[in-house]
Amino acid sequence: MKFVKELFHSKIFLIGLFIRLLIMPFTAHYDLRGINFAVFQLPFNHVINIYEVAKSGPLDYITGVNFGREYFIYPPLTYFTLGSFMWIIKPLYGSEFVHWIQGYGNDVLSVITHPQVFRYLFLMKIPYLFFDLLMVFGLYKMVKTDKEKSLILKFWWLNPITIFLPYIWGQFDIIPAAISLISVWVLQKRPVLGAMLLGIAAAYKNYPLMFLPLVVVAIAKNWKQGLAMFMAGMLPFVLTTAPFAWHSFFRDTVLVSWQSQKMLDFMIGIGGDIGIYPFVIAYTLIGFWSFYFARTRHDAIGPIVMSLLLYYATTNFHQQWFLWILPFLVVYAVKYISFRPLFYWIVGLFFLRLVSLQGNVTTELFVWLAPAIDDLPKSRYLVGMLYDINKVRNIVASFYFATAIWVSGWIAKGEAK
Amino acid sequence: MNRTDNHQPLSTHNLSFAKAESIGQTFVSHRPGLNIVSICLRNPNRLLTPLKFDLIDDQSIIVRSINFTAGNIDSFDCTKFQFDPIIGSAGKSYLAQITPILDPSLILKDQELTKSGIYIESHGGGDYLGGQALVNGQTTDYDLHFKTLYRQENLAIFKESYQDFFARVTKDPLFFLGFILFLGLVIWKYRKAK
Repeated sequence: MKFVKELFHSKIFLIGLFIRLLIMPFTAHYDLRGINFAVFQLPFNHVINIYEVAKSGPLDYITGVNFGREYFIYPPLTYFTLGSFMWIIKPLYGSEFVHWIQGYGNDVLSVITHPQVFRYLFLMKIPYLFFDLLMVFGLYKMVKTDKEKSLILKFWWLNPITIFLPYIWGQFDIIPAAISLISVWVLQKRPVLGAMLLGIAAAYKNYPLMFLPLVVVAIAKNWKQGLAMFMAGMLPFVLTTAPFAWHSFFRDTVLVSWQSQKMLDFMIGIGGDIGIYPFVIAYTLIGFWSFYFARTRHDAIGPIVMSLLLYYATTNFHQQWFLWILPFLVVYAVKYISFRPLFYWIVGLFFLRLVSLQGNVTTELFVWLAPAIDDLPKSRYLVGMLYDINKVRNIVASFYFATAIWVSGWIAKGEAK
Repeated sequence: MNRTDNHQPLSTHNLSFAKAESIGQTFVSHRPGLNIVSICLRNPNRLLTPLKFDLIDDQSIIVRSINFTAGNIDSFDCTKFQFDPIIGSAGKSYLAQITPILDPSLILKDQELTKSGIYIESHGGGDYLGGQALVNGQTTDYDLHFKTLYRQENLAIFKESYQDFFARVTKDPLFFLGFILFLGLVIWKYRKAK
């Protein structure tokens, strides 16, 4: 309670909250509606196994056009968490919501211009506010002084990326990102519990599993504790996914989805049919570094930041995945003045990549305000008028690669102690 | 600004020019000022075959025509055929048709080769209700992956958009009352905060 009271006395927090609330009803990617097309099945249709519905249930036209049957490719805890939030505020949605979320055939305009669409967009984003506050709580715990707390609010709460991804775009990556950060804070004092929290984060999106071996190597005092941490980290993921493991749709689209293996798209041939994966090479090197250096500093953030940066550098990643690393970069930016120019550069790089993406992720997010916005020239088209769009994308990807190497070197050198 | 009128975005099937003299799509223009038809042509072999785009009205009169070559086909996006806006297009049916222009000096087999690698993306779902795809003038069970746009003045779009927005806001007064209260509360707290 003291934490919440403290926040509501901060002008920076209130400005950030005002911006979030102001934006929430008016913008979204079709992702938000696609995910909630699955989520609404729990409170409204009392469906427990969403993967069966995704496999063979009726499909809304817009969801079908944008995602096909793979509109819900996330572990079950995501479904149950967002579904529980929807259950609690179900009366606020009203009776027309069921028709809106299931669409009106190929009449896309009726979905976009529905009289209650602003209410739906607002309500569907409410869970993100809760986890956003949890994130601030976790970030506060990572610093000591009031000045640092004030910087946390500036770098996180007023960060254009943290406003854009959950509230303008409508993506739920804030949930695993917040729990991952809390787990790192807990890891410092209670390693097994921290690892378990990391496993809970992975039960929302699989990516924190990638950190588990690294933090075990970096934090565990001996092999017994390491084993306990590893088991505790796997437990939430195994427990929450096991009841659905028999389902073929769940196995194919969640456990071994093509998206979770994108880092293996980049391969360098070494002759014959054999190749090497740059991401796997980088990950292995980070593992060695964690064992020989990070463990002497009891540092869990270093291996996580390095692995994510090299993941972005070697993978054609989805833009919303960038939220995974942001809280850790904020911690660095607050604690180390020398890191701040890099922080601003990385934030700028995010938006440079955003405007050149093929996906509909800029003006299209505002289509709910007026359908005419969808007919505006896309940002990628405008960028393409200035310079070859494919070359722009390659240049931005190269920037990411160079940044990943430089920041990894900065961490490895011991700048972030 | 060019505004979307019809959009059939799905693609599950290809209609090839290998055995077709022409491939087209009938559609209804709902608005005046029809000025763009976008069709998802594909040309993986990078042929330079001359082609013709015709827009034909319901009286079988060609109202717009564009000559182009397969070299103009965009392999990543759909190909847009833009022409002078048709002022009286609202409520009328049209046929958008692509026809390869074959070189009469070539023998029949060579003529076939010059067009056999070009195809158009289509869909068999019957989602588009205003028309269907035609091959050699005969109707098929498919719709092309296509889009039509019309020309509208910027001022008219702006006026229509804000009028529509405020009309929608007033249709959900309960939500907007709560929403404004929320924002007001935050402003009030801000004024009291240090």
